[in-house]
Amino acid sequence: MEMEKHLNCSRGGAESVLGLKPSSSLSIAYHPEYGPHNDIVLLELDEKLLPDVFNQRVFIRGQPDDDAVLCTQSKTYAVKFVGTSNSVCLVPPSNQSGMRRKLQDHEENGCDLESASVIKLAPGSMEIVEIAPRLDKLKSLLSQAPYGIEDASEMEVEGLGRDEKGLYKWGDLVNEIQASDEELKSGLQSLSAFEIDGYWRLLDETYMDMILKMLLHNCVLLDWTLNALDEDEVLGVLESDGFPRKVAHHCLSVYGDKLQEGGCKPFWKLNDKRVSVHFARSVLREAEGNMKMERFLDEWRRKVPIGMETSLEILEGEILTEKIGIEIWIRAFRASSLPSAAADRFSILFKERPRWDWKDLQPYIRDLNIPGVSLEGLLLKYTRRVQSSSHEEPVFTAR
Amino acid sequence: MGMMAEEAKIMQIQLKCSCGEGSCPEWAIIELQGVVEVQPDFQEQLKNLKIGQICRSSEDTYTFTIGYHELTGSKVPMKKPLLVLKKIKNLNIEDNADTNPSNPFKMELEVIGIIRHKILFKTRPKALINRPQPVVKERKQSSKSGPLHYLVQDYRDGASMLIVVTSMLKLHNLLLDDVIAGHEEGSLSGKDGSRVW
Repeated sequence: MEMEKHLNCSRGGAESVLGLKPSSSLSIAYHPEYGPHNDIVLLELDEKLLPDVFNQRVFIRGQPDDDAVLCTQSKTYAVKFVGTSNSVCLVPPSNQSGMRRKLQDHEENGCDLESASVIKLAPGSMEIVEIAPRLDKLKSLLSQAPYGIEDASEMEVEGLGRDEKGLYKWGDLVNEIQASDEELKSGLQSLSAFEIDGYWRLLDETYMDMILKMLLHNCVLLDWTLNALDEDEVLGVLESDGFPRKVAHHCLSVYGDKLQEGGCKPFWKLNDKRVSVHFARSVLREAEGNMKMERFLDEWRRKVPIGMETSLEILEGEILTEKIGIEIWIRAFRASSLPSAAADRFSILFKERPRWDWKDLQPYIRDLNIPGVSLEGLLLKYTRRVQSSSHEEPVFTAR
Repeated sequence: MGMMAEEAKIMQIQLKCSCGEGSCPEWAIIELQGVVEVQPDFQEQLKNLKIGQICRSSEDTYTFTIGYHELTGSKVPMKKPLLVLKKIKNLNIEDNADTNPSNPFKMELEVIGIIRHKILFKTRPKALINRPQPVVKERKQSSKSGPLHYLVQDYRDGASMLIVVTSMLKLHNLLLDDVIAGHEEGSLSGKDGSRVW
């Protein structure tokens, strides 16, 4: 009898294996459709991520040359493959569609052996590890076509022949940027990006400067209170000045804070710090390099509305100062332009300056986000800490 | 078609599941160290070929007999569930073709099962040389009547070695139909976590 060698049935499946009772036994055979089945892969996921999977909220994002990345609604994970030298035999449940054997055949062949079948040997499985979202690409994509004057003037003339190169809708960003939806939204917000005509855009800095200046000019001209700007009135006037309503609104949201609306009319208060920092940046941009501190302070104060703060404290993470001889010099160095990967970040920081005081360094590393690693851990890994005595501030150099 | 200046961009791959959480089909894994080899004559006829017999000898003990070897193991819960995914290539006919007209295909990963337990055999196999033969006519013992399967294991220093290789996975590896093996720049670790070589 050849029954021992070939089973005419493969009726049993996973449930036979998992439900095997004590003192019983089960034949294990190759499934009739046994094969490499390279289209079947295994993914290890934490129990608490399963609801996201079953609610269709998990995606693998990136382009072919990127490392595979898995995203839930709010987090990003790198995907690794873990191969094993063990033989991992996969046993599907017996009523798996597409792998079903006609039960009738079995019965006709008098098959009554308790058995289970192996459909495939898995070479390993995929595992995930949480990572920081990869948002650096977002800035470079959106910088391809910043929204400026030309865009504003052709706003009313939308046509199908428009050149869409360098323009990205939400759906495009999601395919290109390896981050979860929430992290992507947060990234867009920290870039002060805005959505217009379905496309996410960065506002050109000079154009933004123009709008803000016009806004402040109107405040003086029309005697508006900086602490309580009437949204409708402001947008209306700016529109007649040639700035599209949506763009003007974006400007308000970047430099102002919406007041808690008791009634139905939205009111805004200008944020002193953000306005002040804006003008510091534009002074430094015009200088294109180093500036003498005195001259900088002078020009800065001239641009900023009266009453708004112009102290160096608010420029933390925006500028670096240097004493050359008896003069103090200042130059732009923005934390927001640094890469988000720790190794790259520290490399650029130490190229800029070989030695850093903690108070200078801190604004440039406090936003580093590596899941599972603390700031102290990062400092240990990438810097060497030098402290000449206990009452002196520590200094950091490259490792 | 001279407009191929831009590389075809791929769309995000959704993990899809047509079953709800409670009704995801449960698969099983039987895991053993080493490789099961089949006698050369039978290598083309694997389908339905019996590999061996699993017996649950007691509450906690399982044995797996393959050829003349007997392994001992137990049922263990997975430390984290494993999802069984199937790669599916679909025609990209959705209305967001404005994002990607150059790529007609869309890939999806469908969840077709979940694994929460496995039967793990990690002991050194016991040789069953004097295994009682079933009462079978002995008249036609062909020369190939030995066991069809034998278990091959790699032994170092007398202990069986489990080798695990972890590697980063490029997206295009995931998309291809080839075996996913990741990069060469992996790291090897032995059973106790130490580097093997």
